[in-house]
Amino acid sequence: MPVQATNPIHFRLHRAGGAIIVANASLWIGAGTPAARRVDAIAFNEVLQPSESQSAKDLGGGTFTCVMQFMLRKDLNGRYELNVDVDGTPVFNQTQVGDVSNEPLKAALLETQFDIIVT
Amino acid sequence: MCRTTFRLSVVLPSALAGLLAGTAAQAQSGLLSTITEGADIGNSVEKLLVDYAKASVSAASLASVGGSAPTVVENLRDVSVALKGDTPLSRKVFALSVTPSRTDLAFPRVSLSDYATKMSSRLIASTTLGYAQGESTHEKVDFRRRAWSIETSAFFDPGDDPVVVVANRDCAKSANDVLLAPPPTAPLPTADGPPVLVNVTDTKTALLKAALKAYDNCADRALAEANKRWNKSRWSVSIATGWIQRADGTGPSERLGTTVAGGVVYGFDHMPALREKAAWTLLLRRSSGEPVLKSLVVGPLQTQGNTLWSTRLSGGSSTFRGVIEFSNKRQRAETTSELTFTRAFGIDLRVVDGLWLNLRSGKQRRINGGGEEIGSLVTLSYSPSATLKR
Repeated sequence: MPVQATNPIHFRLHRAGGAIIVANASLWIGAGTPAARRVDAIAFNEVLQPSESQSAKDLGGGTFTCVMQFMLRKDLNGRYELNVDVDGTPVFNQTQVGDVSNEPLKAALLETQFDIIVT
Repeated sequence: MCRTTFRLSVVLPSALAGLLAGTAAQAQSGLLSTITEGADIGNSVEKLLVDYAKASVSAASLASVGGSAPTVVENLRDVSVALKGDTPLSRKVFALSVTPSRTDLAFPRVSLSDYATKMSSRLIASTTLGYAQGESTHEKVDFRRRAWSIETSAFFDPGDDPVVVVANRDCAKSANDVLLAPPPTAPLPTADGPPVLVNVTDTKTALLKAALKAYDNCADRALAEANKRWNKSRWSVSIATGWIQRADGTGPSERLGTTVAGGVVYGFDHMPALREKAAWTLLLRRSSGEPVLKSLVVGPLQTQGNTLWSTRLSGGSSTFRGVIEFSNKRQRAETTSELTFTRAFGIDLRVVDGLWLNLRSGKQRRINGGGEEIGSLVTLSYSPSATLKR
């Protein structure tokens, strides 16, 4: 289900919990084709910010495939809560909640993928 | 007359130690062999711990508050267990402390952002519950003691807190540099349906490990810088109570009274010339309703209150420093085998991480209560979990 957005794309990461949440978003065009290439990469590094905004560079219009990674690491505790907005539209229906305390590395790498139609 | 005592000690939940050590009329012997273990807090655990051992000797402990003094809490573990070897006045000592917010249960839950910005959150996240039990002998009668405590602590400047130090260091950038560095593999076309969050830890373990390593390296550098300053200003408070009963079960279980303790370390934050060179420590301990042990043996039950303060001025570096200590110790020495300094000077030397050698010399009450004598104390303090990797 693509997310509608305007150029440049605005991302907002919502984070909570006692775990460190590091995130990034890679924007691709031509996903699934030989001509696929990454056109932008955005990092979310402000781990103490409950809400962090980042914008993609000027990509013009079109359909982009966004791959987001979330590195979760036990810190104060292992609990995490996260969600992402793209131009104000939540990517997930509900906040993603979990705990990495019981992971072997006390950490986890999560990924999601969705399309963004930029007008 | 000059007396020298050697001691090997470590770490009990401080609020409990005083109660287990006995009432104001009786304190622990100084010969201890203790093991403390515990998983620590934070992402890189032991790296986020402040070395506990360096605070284990203070004027308060020398003043026979107990096997451990109401020191300023420096070191938090999610769970710690302490076992103490038998001494002439204590046996079978077992102590357990839990910091619920830092366990896997994470209750109450404190978010990292709140922890960094709100003192109340830091206090909640540092609240530690303790339990301890042990046996002692007085007037040839064996007693069994149990005690509970609650304590919390915080740095005055959140920027001194190791958890905040690392989180503020932008170590996330180091991790993201790794996560985004590999030659990007083009994704497949997006599947239909709403986005789902998939755990790829198992399939991308090497990538995750590399990112974590980058994060750790950054955190290590941040902590190494932060730990150059050994005298960060902080404070702690604790309250404890307990019960005592004859070990053979005869006689009632009596309350050990209530003990409230607080401590402050001031690192001369506002004086650049001393900011990394000196620390002033003030410890206060107020106990009330403590039974006099002798009255437990012969009756009728008597209780008493006691207020102890001690202060210490330390100067030096993170590995070597000189100290001067004073206390208002006026304990009745006839029931106290603890060496009792009313004033002392000495040095603290860090042999290796977690292992401290403490030397003290000063005036103390005679054990028989008859005036003062010059005494000296050598303490080797060891905090295993500050040095051992999980």
